[in-house]
Amino acid sequence: MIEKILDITGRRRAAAEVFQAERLTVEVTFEAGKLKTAERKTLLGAGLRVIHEGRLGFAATSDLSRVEDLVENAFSAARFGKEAGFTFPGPSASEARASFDPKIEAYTPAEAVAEGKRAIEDLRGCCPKALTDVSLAASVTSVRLANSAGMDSRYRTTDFRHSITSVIVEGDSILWVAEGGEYGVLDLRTDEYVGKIAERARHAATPAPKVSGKLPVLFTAQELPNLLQSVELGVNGRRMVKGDSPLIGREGERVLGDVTLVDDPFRADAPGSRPFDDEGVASQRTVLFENGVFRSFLFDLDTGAQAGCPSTGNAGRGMLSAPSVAASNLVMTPGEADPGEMVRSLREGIVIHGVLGGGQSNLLAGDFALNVMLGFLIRDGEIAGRLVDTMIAGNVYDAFTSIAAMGREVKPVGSHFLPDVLFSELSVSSR
Amino acid sequence: MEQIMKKAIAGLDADYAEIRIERAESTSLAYMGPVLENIGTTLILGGCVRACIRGGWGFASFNRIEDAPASARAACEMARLAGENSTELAPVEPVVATVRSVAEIDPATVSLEEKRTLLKRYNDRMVAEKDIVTTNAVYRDLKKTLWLHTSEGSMIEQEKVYAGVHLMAVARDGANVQRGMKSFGDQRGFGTVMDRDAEVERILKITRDLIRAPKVEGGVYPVILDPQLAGVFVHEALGHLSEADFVYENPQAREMMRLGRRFGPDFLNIVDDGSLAGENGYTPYDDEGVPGRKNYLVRNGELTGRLHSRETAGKMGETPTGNARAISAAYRPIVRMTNTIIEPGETSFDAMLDHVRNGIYACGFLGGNTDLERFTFSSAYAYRIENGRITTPLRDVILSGNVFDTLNQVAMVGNDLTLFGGLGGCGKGDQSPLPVSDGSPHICIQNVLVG
Repeated sequence: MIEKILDITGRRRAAAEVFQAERLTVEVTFEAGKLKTAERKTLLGAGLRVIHEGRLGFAATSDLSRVEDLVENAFSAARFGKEAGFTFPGPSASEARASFDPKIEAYTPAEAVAEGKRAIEDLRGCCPKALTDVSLAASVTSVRLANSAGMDSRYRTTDFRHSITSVIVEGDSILWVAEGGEYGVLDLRTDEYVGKIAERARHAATPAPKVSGKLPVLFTAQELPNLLQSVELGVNGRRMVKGDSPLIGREGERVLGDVTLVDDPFRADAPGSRPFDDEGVASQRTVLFENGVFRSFLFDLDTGAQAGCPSTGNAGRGMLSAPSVAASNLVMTPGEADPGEMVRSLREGIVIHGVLGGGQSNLLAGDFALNVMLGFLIRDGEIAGRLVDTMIAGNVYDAFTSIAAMGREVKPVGSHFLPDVLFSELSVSSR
Repeated sequence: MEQIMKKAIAGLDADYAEIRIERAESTSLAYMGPVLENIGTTLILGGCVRACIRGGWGFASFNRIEDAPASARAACEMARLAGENSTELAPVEPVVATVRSVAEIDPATVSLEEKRTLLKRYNDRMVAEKDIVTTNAVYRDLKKTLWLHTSEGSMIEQEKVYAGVHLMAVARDGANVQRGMKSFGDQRGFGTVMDRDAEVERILKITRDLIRAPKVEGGVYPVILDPQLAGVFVHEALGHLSEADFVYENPQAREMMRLGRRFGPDFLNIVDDGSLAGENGYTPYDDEGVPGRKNYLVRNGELTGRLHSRETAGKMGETPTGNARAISAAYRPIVRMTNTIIEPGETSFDAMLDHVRNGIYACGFLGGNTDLERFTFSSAYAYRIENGRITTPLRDVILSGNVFDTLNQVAMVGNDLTLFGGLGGCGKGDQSPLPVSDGSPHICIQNVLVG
């Protein structure tokens, strides 16, 4: 199909790029401790970009029998499309490899059922009031990218998603305790998840006294992306060329505290690793912040061209969508603190295990206000109960300049790799 | 298509099976600032088979129509693996029906050039405003045909047409970046996106107000919610809690959500109504072939109903409500809302304002979330109310609270019901966005925690 498309577009004197992906997923779901669904899903799609008479057009299809319509739609779009400030790249090579684990490819629904049952049995034993949902999903994705500049490359990648969520309803109180992860290789952590859920559920049984004021707040790595999203928006090259990133013109300036954050598509076995990005640009490692000093935005071909910089290899796309700027794996350099020691060091403070975000008017500027779904008050280094009706608020850029300690372990959180971070003080209010 | 579907699931050894196929075409355009960043058309073809054996569901999806029979076998194999109890689906009458779109102007009959010209007009107006640093103007339409065939004999073909725009202006003053925005979208056709110039002026006014607005001072206030925000509030606060898939396997949750329980004052009436033709959440038949209908969730302040799939209704001994919905034929149907509404009361907006000495008028919707017990959501813009009058603009008005308390704190329900669809929708599990409408009159809530 790709050959046919490139043939037609070539004859019409257009540069062209075809992105084709197919994803197979095996998934098993338990609800309230009962096995509910086993699924075998296929999703495929192809996206075509053409540059015709200097203008960019895009079309996509999940109906691979409609090649002519796909091409026609792309040319129609190019009549109105923006001027292309870039050309499609030729063949590229990088050392980066997509994660691939044959054990994920071979993972069977029966194995997922057995693994899920084990979690449910264990939690029934140690946490009898909880009803537990479990989901296990193993996917294999094949990607092929070809363009009229001679690139034609492909890779296969695997990913594995596992989540365990226990809910305890008592009167009008609903407690959710969840653990899970997304990995590039088969990484079954049922025992770890069960242990953490049981421990948190046990601590949550005692309500904490109300607290208000400026307090040290320990964000567990799992919850840190809620804060990092502002910074991720800030480094997005699209926001830079549109003029609304607060980081514009601040390269070389110390913007954060002692934080080093890197976009790293080379990280072994990580879900965001790949040899080239979704426009065919060779993967590269990009330092975003080095000891708090802002170093670089992330660019795709289009935003890079507008900014007068090369692409940093950060184009991402869905199966049926046009590419846009996206991080690969975001890796934060860890600190030296022992996680338990960070808690024990707190005379009064809180630990966050779950938040509800409500949207923010000033997300780009870094403002946040989060409702604590699951968090604990710490007094004299001990857990003093579960926080109820508590909000934490502040500014992300301010928060990251006053870090008290960072955990020494980097934890995988999807395509983020982050330590626990103890902020010296955030505004906390309980109702 | 009917033959393909019948053949695919004929003779399957399952307690129940269904096949769904979807063919769709979607066009979208997006301006950011003066530049048309995206323009394109997407063709979609896909389907799935779902089978139930001894209470376990098997599901298999496909894109190539010729894969339908193999998917049917895979779904059965999966269902056998998952089935450990008994299949209890609430009975429904098989339906044979063809439903046409209610859209007056089918966007498929409108040229790409005309769509671009319209969007450009709105966007140009925003770009021309002097304090606006950038904009985001998105147009999207989707025309789809959905086929559903069940092993019980239902055969339904539904045509649906969606069209909408999302318009946003961004002002920046140093690190302070503020957005004014509105979104329009439903199943009424291309007319929904036409003649919105007055709304563009509203967006610019809101943006100008926001960039000079102070942050709200946190605290507990009486709050008047505009119809859009009140609609989102009822969706988040009661709608999700009314989805029976949360309660049907959980005895404590069932007790918490027992019918007859008081949820608000006598004058509070809340419905979910999938039968409202043209609304974003209009669902003539859900993805199990159950007709959409008006379901009272709260009547005179008491819980009177909930939202069901055939499975949740069967297990709870209640009637299916037409709320089993999937975002596309690549996903299985789960319990979802359609159009969720607070029914109008008698208070005029002016009379409502008159009751508020020192409070907040919170408007529009930026984002929100619920864990079913608590909710938190942000208004897009807001104003202070002083002695019954709307005065200065405020930003960062984020409302949060306990679902059960807050519904009981509803003090007044207005007489000016308005529904809002839009380009986005509702997210649940891995399925987002699902088109829904939320609506309400203005409502006044006594004590709300504002951050």
